[in-house]
Amino acid sequence: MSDHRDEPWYLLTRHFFGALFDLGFLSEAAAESFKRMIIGICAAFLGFGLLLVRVAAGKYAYLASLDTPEPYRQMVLADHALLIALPMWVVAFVAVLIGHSLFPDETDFRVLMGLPITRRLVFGSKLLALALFTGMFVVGTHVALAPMFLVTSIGRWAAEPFLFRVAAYGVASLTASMFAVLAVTAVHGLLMLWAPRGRLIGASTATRSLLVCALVLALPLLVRMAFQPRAFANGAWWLVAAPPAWFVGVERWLLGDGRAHLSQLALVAALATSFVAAAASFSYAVLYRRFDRVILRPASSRTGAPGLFRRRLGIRRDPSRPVFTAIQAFTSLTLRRSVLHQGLLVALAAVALGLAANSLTMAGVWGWWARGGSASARLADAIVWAPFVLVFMISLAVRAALAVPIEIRANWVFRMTEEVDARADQLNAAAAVVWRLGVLAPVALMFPLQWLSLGPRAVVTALVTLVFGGLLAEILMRDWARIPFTCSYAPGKRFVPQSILIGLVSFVGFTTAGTTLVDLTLEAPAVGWVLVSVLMTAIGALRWRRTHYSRHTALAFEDALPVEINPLRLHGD
Amino acid sequence: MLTARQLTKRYGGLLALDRVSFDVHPGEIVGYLGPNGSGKSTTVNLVVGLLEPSAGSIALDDISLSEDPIAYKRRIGYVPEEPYLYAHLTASEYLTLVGRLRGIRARPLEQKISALLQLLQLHDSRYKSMTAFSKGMRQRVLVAAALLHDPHLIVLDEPFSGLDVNAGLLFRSLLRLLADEGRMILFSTHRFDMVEKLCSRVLILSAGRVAAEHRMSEFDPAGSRSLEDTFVRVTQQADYTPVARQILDIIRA
Repeated sequence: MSDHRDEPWYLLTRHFFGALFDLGFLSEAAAESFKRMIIGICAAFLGFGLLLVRVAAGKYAYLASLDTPEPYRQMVLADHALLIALPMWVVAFVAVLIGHSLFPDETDFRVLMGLPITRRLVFGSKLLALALFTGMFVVGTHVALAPMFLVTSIGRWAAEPFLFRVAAYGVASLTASMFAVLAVTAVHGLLMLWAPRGRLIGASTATRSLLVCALVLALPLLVRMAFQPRAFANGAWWLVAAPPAWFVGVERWLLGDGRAHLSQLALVAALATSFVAAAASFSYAVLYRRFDRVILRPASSRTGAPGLFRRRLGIRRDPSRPVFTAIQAFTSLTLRRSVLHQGLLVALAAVALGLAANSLTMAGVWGWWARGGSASARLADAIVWAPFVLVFMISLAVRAALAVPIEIRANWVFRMTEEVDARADQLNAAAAVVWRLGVLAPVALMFPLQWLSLGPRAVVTALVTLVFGGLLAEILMRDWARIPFTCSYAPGKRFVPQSILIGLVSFVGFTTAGTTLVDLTLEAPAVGWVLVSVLMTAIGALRWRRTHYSRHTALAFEDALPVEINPLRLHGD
Repeated sequence: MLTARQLTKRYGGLLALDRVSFDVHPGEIVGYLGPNGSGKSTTVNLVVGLLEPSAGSIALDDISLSEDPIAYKRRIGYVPEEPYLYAHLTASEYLTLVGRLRGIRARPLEQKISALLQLLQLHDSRYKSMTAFSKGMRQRVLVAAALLHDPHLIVLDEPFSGLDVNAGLLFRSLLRLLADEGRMILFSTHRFDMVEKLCSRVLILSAGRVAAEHRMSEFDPAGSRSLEDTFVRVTQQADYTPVARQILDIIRA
């Protein structure tokens, strides 16, 4: 009797499943380190989840003590929206990350179609691997959220039988997660079918970055849903635009709740799920039937026009510093075209935008925008704070993106063209990218809003933010000794909770000190400008240090993990 | 002149290269032959400065690689065996990047790249990302990148892999012209025919050591003293006919 592990479908599924974990840019040692980092992050999230349960338990104990069930019933709807939304978000994020592997690609076509296996086997195995992979995250998130579900479903006012509730929630939430995966698959599938081959990589990169950005920005909105119980009870208009709310409608419909607005939400869920399922199936079906024609269609379009190309390469810019312009152009082109690098940058930038937008919304920016006039003190504070948040997060994001390699085996060209005299330019080009994207862009982005709300004081605010952000950029790049994207990357060099703690403390320190310096400069200009001058001197010193030491420090092309064991040397030799 | 003396390379406990010495003179094309695992790629990586030797020295025109690696690398052009390049760039962008890193001024570089792409039949694809390029097209880009700065020494590691017949003929002529102009060429390959047609001298490597060094004029391709026979003898290659028979038996089983 043959073992199923020898069967082609098993081998292919295992191959596709394993490939979904392959990030492609980590060395063997770094991959091990990456696994440890992931375990650390999971542990941190688990701790956070247990904290949420503790908060919810207090809330539901209070609701159970009330004389009327109505507040409990409203709260359950809002909390279940969150319980449905979180797995949806996680699984959608994972699907976006593995977007390049959602469909069999050219490598699969070239390698597998030459073998005596059917197309059905290739596609079936791919689908099975994807189902297993996404299923792993669906199950994982539902298991992690199970204690929270228990807290919301056991109590004095819980009307329906417990098992009935479990079944209704399970069906609604699993369908919601399926909807999330199918939606991402449909977007990628339609793109694959209709984007010209020459534009496919660019379009796919942009789409994935947009999806990552949208998902990150949606996260605070999803969390806020849990604080809107009345909206669910009264059928607020915006629920139709919130996919997790649709599936709350499904859950309530399954439990026999006949309220019209919840039934409408259930109907929207059914229509939307059918639509994305049809679009994803259509993409798979077309690719299945016309695999060769879709994969091997001619690349007809160009990457860029000659004028734009010359500008990108810095041909006309600063002819006296060819290495500086070459590294800047290489960095800019890679950030534009690499899914991984752009995704990393966009995801972290979206977190910053989400934080800033959330703070401005809480401070009443939309009301002020509608009625005009002067901004309240709280709103003014939020408007001053926002660019510091953006500068902090985006500078870190840019630095992180520059540290992740692309085509590591191609870095020989930089190793062979290394020049001591050009090394400072190579390092300064990387620092300039952090300055431009991490400091100048956020300050420029926020300046119009600052001008409208603060008037001429916005100029002082922007200048102080620039200097303070510049200092951060220089600190981040003080030990930078690599050309962007050319050094191998070993993540998890530090214990994850320690990194999170350092990050949080730095964030609070940077934003608090920055806003305090702005206030000081506006209220006591003499003192403020003296401090700003000190900061500018520090920036100059850090730049000089980088330039000076660049002559004596070789560029790094191999990232090293810290030594695993530090000997205590107790023997006293 | 390129001089390599007593080159030794250890990877942990494995001795990959054992006291290898050779010279390449101006105007010479030196073939570097050896079976898999003989240390060919290690030598090439040492000569172009991508690896550091465990012992020994390399110098080009009296510039020592260990003492002044920057000045040394300025004088060499390298075509790697596998087309490792930044495929998300276009051919023009990649060549511009390399040219700028080599310190070539913008305007002459632009003209050089345009002309080279035209001659290498890559001009129509100059604005396309190299992800869509075949291995041969990538190899042509790498050859152009290696020659952009008019190097003194050209190190080629299997440069003909992936090239079509026409491109192969073009490169053969180009290498001959470069050698006639006094460039040094170190040519690592598995192909006897290429060595016979191109090289003036050949080094045969076996188990990390130089097993033989001959002028091409010493061989008699038609007679018993051919390059292939010499290679088989000095690298102690077994008679593969019994092995081939065994493979056939296994296939039939």
